[in-house]
Amino acid sequence: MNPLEWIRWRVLAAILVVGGLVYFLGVDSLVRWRINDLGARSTRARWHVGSVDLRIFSGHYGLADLLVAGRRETAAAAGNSPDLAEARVFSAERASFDLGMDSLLCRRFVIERLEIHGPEMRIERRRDGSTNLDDVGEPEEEAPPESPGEGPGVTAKDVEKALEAAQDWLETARKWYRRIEWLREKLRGDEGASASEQEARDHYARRALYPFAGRPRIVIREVVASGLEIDFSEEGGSAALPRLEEGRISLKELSDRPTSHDRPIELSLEGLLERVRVALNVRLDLTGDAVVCEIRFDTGPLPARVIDAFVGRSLPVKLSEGTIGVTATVRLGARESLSVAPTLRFSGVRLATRPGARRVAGLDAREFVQAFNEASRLLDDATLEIADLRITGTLSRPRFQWGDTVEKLVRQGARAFVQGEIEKAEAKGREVLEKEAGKVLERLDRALEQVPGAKDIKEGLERILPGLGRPRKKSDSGEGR
Amino acid sequence: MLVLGWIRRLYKVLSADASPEAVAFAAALGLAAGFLPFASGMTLVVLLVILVFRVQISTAIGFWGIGALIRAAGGAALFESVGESILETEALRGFWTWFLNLRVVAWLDLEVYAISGGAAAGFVLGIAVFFPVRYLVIAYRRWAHERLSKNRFFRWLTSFWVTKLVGWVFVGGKS
Repeated sequence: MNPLEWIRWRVLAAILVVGGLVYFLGVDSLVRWRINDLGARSTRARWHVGSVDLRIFSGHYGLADLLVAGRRETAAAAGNSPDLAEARVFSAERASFDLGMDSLLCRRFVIERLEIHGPEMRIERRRDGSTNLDDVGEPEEEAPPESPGEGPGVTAKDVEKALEAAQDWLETARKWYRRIEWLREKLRGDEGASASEQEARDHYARRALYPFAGRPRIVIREVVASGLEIDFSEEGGSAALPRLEEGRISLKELSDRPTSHDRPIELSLEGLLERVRVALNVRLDLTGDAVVCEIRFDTGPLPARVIDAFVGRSLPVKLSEGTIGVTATVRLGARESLSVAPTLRFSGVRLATRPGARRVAGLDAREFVQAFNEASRLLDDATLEIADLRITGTLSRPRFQWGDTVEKLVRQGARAFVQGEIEKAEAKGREVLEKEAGKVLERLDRALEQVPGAKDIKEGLERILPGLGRPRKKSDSGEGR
Repeated sequence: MLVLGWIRRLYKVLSADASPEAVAFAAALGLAAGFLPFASGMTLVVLLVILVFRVQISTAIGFWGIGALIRAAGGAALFESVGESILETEALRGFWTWFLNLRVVAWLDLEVYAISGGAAAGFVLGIAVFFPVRYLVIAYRRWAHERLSKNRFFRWLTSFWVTKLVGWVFVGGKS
């Protein structure tokens, strides 16, 4: 029998025709429907795409009008509108990427470069200290903190306390560190679970995992978004927070198994905040025994009010005017170990005491503020650089080591302050003394006029003591006296 | 009526012009497909083979049903342990790591114990079923179809209307 006769050519042709029709006429809408259906039912986030453009044979894929919002239950719990557009965290006009057919045949989705056009982010800080970014991703298996805006016994003080925690950079770093640690443990557990440990809901749930160990199914080598705009807002906050503009974000080495991926995740964000350049670089390594995270932060001279708006409540002093530039490298390691080496550049900064703050850099808060402001005045508009501050310890118990610069600055400022006070006291004393001396001499003049021959004596005295009976002038002091 | 339908279908398969190999392949593939869950890459491949290659489709469907019944009646647990012992054999780990990551093979879900076990059991039982079915079809066609139809007594017997009625009931109108 001819092997060609083994094949049902008509059936094969019918399958090809149906496949071709689906590909050319319906696959885009089918995939779009599937993506949106998953996005509507997902427990991790909600998403929606406006249109899909799939070119399977050339390996080019595109999505348009993307919207990503937080999980439905949290959005509802927070009292947000269920509308996706209103609750959005991220949106973009278009995203495009190439997917290698070779890796696709191996059931691996490897995207070398994902480009996002017209991206926009909306970050809202809530009354309970959380942000809308917390709603994206898998919910943590712990009871959510009670919102202070909801309970019956909540006072304005509680709300203020929660806001302080939200603006505390250490608290925020600790929260994110714990979240990443939890996620890492979870992923490790999923990857490392042996067959007997897996919970089998049915016979088809258990599988061998070792063939895919160290081989993530989904890998995105780089995500690039330019023209990024980030809107910051505070729930119930009256003051508008500045907006990040002309941003560019680059995310490298994303995968569905970051704990076994060969390279660490890298994030790079650049943009303009109040027309001042800010840059953030993060390197996150989840492959070792513990989370290792390195954050490099670099800003130009940011207005004090901008810094105050973001982290103001967590600082022991209030920033009232001037600019501050920060370059810092933060390193987080095992067991929340912390190492920060910042360089702070102050220019024309004036501080004010914050109620409740007692000590700053080992000094009384009020004295520190006075000394700092004096030193700042002495420097005029020159930039003061503090490069020897070190923060070590852990996220829970940070240790601040203030170097010589702050000590010298405070000492210099204190000296200037004391000098100024002495000069003020001296001038005041001189004024009082001269006033009293003038009165005495006036009385003496009157008394002398009644004494015969006193005029001659006075003239004689004036010859000996020039300027007697007249207010003292600067020219009077000196050798002649 | 269901039993009658099955008898009629079996008669048609045995009497059709499909080759004995086509019927035997259909039985083997149908049984293998029945051992697998419908939503898996491996099942899709078996289904495509049944559709594209000239195997006897109704036989395949019949054996698919038998396989699915076996799977539902506790076979899945057996396939799971078979698959687990195959995939977790220490000496074969290197091979499976290479094989399961191959192009196309990676889509077959063979890393799932019950699917690899079902596929293995289906393959072995398919081979085991192939030869008896092929032999049975050849033997039936040679004996029942050819010899019996040429037998004088049988032709005399089938000339009665009662016999025709029984034949119509059991094997359908074309008997």
